[in-house]
Amino acid sequence: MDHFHYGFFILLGLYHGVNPGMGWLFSVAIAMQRESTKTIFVSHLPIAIGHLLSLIATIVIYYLISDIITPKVSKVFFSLLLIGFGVYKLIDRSHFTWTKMNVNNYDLALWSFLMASSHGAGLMLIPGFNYEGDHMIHHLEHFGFLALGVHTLAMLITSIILAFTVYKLIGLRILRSSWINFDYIWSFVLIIGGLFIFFV
Amino acid sequence: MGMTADQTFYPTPKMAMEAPPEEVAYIATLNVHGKPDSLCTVDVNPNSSDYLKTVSELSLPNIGDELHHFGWNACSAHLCPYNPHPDVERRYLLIPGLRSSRLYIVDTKDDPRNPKIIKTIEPEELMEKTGYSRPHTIHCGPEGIYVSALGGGSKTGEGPGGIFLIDHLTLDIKGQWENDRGSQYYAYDFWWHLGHDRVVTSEWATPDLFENGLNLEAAVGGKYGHKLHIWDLKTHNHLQELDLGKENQMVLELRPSKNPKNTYGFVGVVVNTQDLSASIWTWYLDKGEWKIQKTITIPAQPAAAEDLPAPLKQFGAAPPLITDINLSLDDKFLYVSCWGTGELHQYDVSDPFNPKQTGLIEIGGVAKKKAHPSGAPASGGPQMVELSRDGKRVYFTNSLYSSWDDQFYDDIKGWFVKADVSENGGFELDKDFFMDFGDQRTHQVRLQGGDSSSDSFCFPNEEN
Repeated sequence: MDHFHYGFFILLGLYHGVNPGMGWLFSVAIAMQRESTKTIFVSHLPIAIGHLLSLIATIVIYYLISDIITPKVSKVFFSLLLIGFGVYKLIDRSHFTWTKMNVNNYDLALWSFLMASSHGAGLMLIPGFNYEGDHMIHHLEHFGFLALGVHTLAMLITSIILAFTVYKLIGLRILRSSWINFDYIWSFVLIIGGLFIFFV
Repeated sequence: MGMTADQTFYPTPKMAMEAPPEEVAYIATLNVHGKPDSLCTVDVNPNSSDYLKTVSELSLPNIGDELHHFGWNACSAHLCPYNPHPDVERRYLLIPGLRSSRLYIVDTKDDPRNPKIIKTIEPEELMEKTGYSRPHTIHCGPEGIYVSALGGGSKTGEGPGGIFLIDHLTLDIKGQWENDRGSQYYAYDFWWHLGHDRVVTSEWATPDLFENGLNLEAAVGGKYGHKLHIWDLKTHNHLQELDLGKENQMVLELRPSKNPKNTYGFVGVVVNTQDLSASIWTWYLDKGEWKIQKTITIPAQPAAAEDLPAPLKQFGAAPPLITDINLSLDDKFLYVSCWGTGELHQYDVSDPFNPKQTGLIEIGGVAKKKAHPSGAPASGGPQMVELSRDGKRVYFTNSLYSSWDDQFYDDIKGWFVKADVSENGGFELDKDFFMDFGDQRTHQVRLQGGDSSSDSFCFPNEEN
């Protein structure tokens, strides 16, 4: 991994961590329900595991597909996939149904997996895998492990800091004053990622 | 769909009490003289030149809908953390026709003072897609828009009533909500404990028992609903039934604690067939099991036979008939409509098992027929009661259901009034606030931006 890769995966980790739909807000709600600061930290383990599993599933599929098509075709295919998914998420605003507040660790990991998968969190990382940078990637497994590890760690730390800050210091008013529509931004990041794959 | 959060959404119930005062109120009015029902928009801003005027009347395109408990497409539940979407706007009112099984959807966004119909779901479509008829109550929630329906999916409405879902984005019917309905057959109100994944439903009756008026014989025989049902919000399965006893006829409005951490709520019983009293019950969770106990009894009031309407002459008493209740967003005050005796009670329910009466308003009533303090005569009695989010203003109307109105009151005339709540309890009618609707019978009131029975919350109150 070069500087670009570290920057890319960490930046998207920060972005996923900040997104209230990826876990920190759920963590705050559970902590409030249980009146337990510890819950902020404990609940983040299954959230991170679910997120990571979704990314692994996506990237494994990415490698499988990359293996059977030429790099040129791959470039076009994944570029269109990301742009298409981004546009699709802009148009179709529906989302998977989840109504359970009383969650155990397994539920929370499943929720996080579904949330990451349905939003295409793994897809968003593909440009980082597609871009080889200055050095040829010789050990894909090693690279993939490091990339997803760095990303998930960045996401986890960001999410915990946010959850803790909102729970302990700022309070929930921030939801009213500082909410931005993450779905729109999410779609544009996917589309930019698709363009990046195509042109770089 | 906006870029920012709808500013009428609040994460916690206590935070919602900081909401600004409403400027308009929407009132469903019913016509029985061959004219269509209407949605009236009333200016309730004392600083407006249109104060206490109906600024628009949306006359519906059909006759005989019998509008009931309409509600919003979206509310504070869109902040629920497992799927936060506060960018969805509170803009559409879904208005069910209880008699016609038709559902209107009106848009309040472009001009909140002049809502317009944007979609109508016809009875045939509603029955076919849901297996239900007689839509009654609307609540926005975690899976979209939930609608209770009192009858099965046929013209006569036989079969169990229940809940169906409407997609909050497309506003199309999604279908029946129940997975395993267990012992549930009657439907009426429903609400939930979002922090505990539990739904509570109540029982009025099937259409054969209410469309042609109250069937006294059936009530005495215990044929109307007398149970609550507890469900799993996620699996849509019936978990438990709570039987209040056959003598407690018609278990209607459900008001769970607004704080999602809590596991109790209040429900009103219309009449006890043994002594004509009405009652409030508190349900609660006790070591994994839901239980219920009576916490308020309101006795019937003796009255001379000549002062009473025909069905009540034999009893020599006016039954309170609790038809609606409302709970403040801080779970402190419970408002109870006694439509029969013409009273609105206020209780301090800080201790939900030991309510203390803190206020009483008298207006109308089958025997008392008490006028409004403005001097205006008031037929009917306090019925649909709505409370502003800050808990300071109580609005209420007087019509119940056309055929029942006619049994208990001669020639009921619609009105809309307001009471002001004192800081530490107690309330009184605003003597300058009386709106006469004449032949239009007033029913549910919804306040602009939400009210105390329009929203549910996923976050417990913050401690500060």
